[in-house]
Amino acid sequence: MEEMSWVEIKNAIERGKTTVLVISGSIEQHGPHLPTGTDTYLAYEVGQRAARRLGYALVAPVIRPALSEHHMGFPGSFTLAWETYKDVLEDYCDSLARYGFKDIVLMSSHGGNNAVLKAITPDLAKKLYGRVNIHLVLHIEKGMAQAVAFLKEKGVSAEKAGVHSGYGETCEMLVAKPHLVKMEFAEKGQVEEALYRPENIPRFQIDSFIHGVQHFSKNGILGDPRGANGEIGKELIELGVNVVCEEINRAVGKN
Amino acid sequence: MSETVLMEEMTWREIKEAIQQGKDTAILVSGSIEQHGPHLPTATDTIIGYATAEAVAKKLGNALVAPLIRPALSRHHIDFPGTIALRLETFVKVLEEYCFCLRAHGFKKIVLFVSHGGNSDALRAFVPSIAKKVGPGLQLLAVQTIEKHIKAFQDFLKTKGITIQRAGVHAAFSETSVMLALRPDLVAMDKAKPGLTEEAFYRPENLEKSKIASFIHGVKSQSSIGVLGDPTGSDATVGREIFERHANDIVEEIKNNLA
Repeated sequence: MEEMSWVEIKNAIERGKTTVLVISGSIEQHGPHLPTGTDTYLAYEVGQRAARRLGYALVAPVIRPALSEHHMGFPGSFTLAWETYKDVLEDYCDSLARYGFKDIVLMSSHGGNNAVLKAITPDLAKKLYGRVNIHLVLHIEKGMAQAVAFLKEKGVSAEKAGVHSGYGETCEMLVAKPHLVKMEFAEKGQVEEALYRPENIPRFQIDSFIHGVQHFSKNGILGDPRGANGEIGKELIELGVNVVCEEINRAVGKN
Repeated sequence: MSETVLMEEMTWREIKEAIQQGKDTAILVSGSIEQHGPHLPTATDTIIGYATAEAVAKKLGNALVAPLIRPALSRHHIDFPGTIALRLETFVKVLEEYCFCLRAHGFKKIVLFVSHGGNSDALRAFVPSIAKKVGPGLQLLAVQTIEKHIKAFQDFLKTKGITIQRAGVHAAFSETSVMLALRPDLVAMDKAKPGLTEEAFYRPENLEKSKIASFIHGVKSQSSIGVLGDPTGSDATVGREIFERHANDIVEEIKNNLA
């Protein structure tokens, strides 16, 4: 939407693009090899691909910064208070509800936003009730499981794939913004296998909020980005877009 | 290619090293996501703001650019699809939290300016209280160049034979020319049409009144296509000149006011 004029947006909505994707990203450290805008760039990449494939959706300007308190130990990270983040979301939805969209799909490309997004969506949906439908699509969790399974087949372990600036995310960035990836600075980060077991992830998340990500990884990487490549990245993004499209179709009742 | 000064494109280590090497000034610009007529994208202020901040930071040599704040205060454009407006309270909180983050990373100075006139008064009103909250050790400077900028491009365009009602204040000759210099791929000149071209509206002494009218009645009541001025015939070379002059004015203002 940010690259379109208001007339183009109006025409697109009238021609049936009545769903708008409001994706939250982040501005936060992504290791010594990826830019702080990583989640934001990936949000645009996946959002645009998904919207094109769906054919009935537009992409709103990605919300950033968002919730990155756990990365504040690293320069260049920005975070909003969760109350402010909620206000920003509310203002987005109140603005977008005026233009004829039927459905607003809230998503996040940054795991740190998920829990709060989940907690505040019912309240948002109630406030907007009768004006526009609010949906929540938390694609990362499902997408992550598929990505881990896919990478395992390629011989990449879950702890190497990682959850932040690891092999997986770095591969994706090599597709989305290759000129901003500095593979020469890619180093091994936190690769303790137990941390990445699905049953341990919630505990890991809470601990990283309490102590800061620097407590788990001095360089800010959770995983191991070495050897990342764009070919795998393309497949990972494709996989992510598939999950996103499926979930959005389900949410807005298409197919 | 010179090194980027945009924090969002840098890694945390690059940012850390840059601050340690003396790049202790953060440039924090607020732009907008709002309609800019049938020929310009809704991110126009964001694109111009980022480019201005980048130019200013490079000229200063000791500054980095924070991720631009957008959306911001665009309630007066809300009748046009694609506009996203924050409430004043939300905007001020966002601004404040940015400053807290910048302080945490060791910046010593924050320079704030706007690439969207609608944010200007809020900056003027709230930067003092934000400065008080962030406390000593961090100097905040709000550079107020919007009025000066309008006067400057009006005068400059006059020398090119462009009237003030054509130069305009929103999505008109001046802004469209700048966009042709920065992002011609996002400008649809074939869709450019004159909007409100009543001369009195743009006289410097009337601009404050015109702005208040925009807020009360909405820009749509002033121009049904959302253009205040006339973008036809816009010119990239003229746009580049307006852009450079503005960046230089901001740099001068910063140098005059920052210790």
